[in-house]
Amino acid sequence: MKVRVWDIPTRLFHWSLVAAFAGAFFTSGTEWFLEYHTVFGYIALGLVVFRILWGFAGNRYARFSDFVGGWRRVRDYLRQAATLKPPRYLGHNPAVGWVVLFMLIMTVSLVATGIITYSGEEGRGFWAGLITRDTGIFFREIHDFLAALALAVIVIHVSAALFHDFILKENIILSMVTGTKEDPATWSERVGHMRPVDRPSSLRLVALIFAAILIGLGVRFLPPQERKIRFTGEVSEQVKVVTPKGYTARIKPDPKWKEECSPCHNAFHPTLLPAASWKRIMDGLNNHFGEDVSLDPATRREILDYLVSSSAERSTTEASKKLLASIKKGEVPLKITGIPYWRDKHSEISADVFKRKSVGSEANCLACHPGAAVGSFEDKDVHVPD
Amino acid sequence: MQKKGLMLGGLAALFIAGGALAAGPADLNAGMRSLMDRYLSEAQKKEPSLKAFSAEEGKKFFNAKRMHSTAKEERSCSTCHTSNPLNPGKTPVGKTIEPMAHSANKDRFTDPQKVEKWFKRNCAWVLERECTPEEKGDFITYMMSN
Ligand code: HEC
Ligand code: HEC
Ligand code: HEC
Repeated sequence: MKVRVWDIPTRLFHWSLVAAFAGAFFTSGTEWFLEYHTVFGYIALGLVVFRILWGFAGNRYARFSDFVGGWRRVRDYLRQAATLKPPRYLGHNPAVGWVVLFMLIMTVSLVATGIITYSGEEGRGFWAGLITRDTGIFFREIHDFLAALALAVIVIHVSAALFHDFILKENIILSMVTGTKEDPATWSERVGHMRPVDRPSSLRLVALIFAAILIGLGVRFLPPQERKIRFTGEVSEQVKVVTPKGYTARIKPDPKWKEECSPCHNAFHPTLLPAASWKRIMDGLNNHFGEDVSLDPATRREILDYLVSSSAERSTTEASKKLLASIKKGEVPLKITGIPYWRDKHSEISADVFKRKSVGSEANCLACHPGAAVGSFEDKDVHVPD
Repeated sequence: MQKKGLMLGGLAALFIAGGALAAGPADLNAGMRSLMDRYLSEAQKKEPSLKAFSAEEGKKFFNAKRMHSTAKEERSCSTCHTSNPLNPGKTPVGKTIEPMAHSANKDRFTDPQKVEKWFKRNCAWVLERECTPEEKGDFITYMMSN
């Protein structure tokens, strides 16, 4: 006889969380998929909040009261499991009960530290502009640690499931799909566990409505979208680069660069040109687009070092990658505005627009890109002034 | 009567010239004053009759238009700084320049090195040569006077 154990919401939750974790895992570690990584995080958070409600409102085996017991029960259970003869539970056994609880708390912490990191380091997400870069970096360490811990717990959880399936011959993995358990050897015990009627509560209604709202919000907001950057304070002023050894690092803007390269035009962000171009520009300062911008050798060196340390090759932004990719082999452009990708992206803007008083020229990036000073050129932020 | 008037006038002229010789415009800091002194003594080598810089001349210089030999456009200091030093200006690229007049921007003419750097750049851009010490002195005097 088949016995219904896992209700549909519990099963859906379980496999959705697996998918969200897998998604977050495979999109982690690189800037390229960061938007997707955060989406998986938000999904996991929504799932867990729902599961916590369901832990009070779900059917009998979904409730915390069913599977979270005292330490003594856990100890006894583990002791017997070690002899390969643990008592059988229809729902979660006392050991996995704690693992479930731990995973819920861990997921919430993981997402919270992720949001803080994202807001602080990237100036994006929920708390963008409210969290400093340093706080973001600090929380990334915690986020990384929690992620490693999560992996360890997942490995333990999966091993335990395989142990139950193959050593103890309880078909528990399949039961999380079908929702039923069928095991003649323990059938009588199971009946003893069953309550005759599972009384639905009003909390269940609340939990289901909450889930519906979450899904609605998810459909509306989750498709990755570039959230507006708020350029406040020091957030994201430092250039994010990949060092020659492959680590990511933050480079502080050089004060001499700010002073010497910004009076005539806003200083062009170092990530906009390849290193060779910066060398060429800094070698030709005595005739810099018709201006004499000669500097003393020490200042020139300092500025060049800064520009090269954060050049397009080292940059992690999409704009840098696309600008670089469009430069023909062997060419060393002097102008960002001469690079094919730039020309392509601005081909629909007429010459009159650039001549407007509020713009002045193509090189006045800041007129249309509020994030230009920090090297951000997201489509969503663009605003062409009248 | 006439003699007395002349004498008074002469005294007044001496006094003003003396003041300018010693200090340049009163608001300048020590570093800038010594720069002005240098401009004046260099200018006097060429033109010994020169007693003091003139804001009037500075204004003319500031607005004087000149055809650039290669760019083929008329250029002047006021191209970027606008003809009113109290107003903010704009670079050809489109970035705003803070006003040049000292009364509108207290940071102006406080750092001799910065002043020299920009004279070098901007004179080359407008005049395709360096500015003479007299032009520089007149220019600063004009900027300090409004
Ligand atoms: C005296 C004024 C002045 C200063 C100072 C100056 N530049 Fe420029 N820069 C210009 C002008 C003028 C242009 C040409 C803009 C145009 O074509 O519209 C230009 C253009 C550029 C461009 C190309 C922009 C484009 O169109 O893509 C780069 C890059 C650049 N400058 C870098 C620098 C760096 C680096 C420094 C500091 C060492 C610097 N500039 C300092 C006047 C200046
Ligand atoms: C007159 C306004 C204007 C100026 C000035 C301007 N841009 Fe843009 N830029 C735009 C617009 C509008 C777009 C969006 C084009 C589109 O929708 O694909 C854009 C797109 C871009 C993109 C592509 C962004 C993306 O995510 O696809 C980059 C990179 C960029 N600009 C860099 C620059 C740089 C660097 C400068 C200065 C040298 C500059 N822009 C000057 C209006 C401007
Ligand atoms: C191409 C545009 C342009 C033109 C033309 C121009 N300037 Fe300037 N000038 C600038 C910019 C930009 C600055 C720096 C502004 C800043 O530091 O805020 C500047 C600054 C200066 C300064 C430094 C003032 C200080 O203490 O901060 C002096 C002096 C100066 N200009 C003199 C001149 C003179 C003289 C002329 C005409 C021969 C002239 N400029 C024409 C763009 C120009």
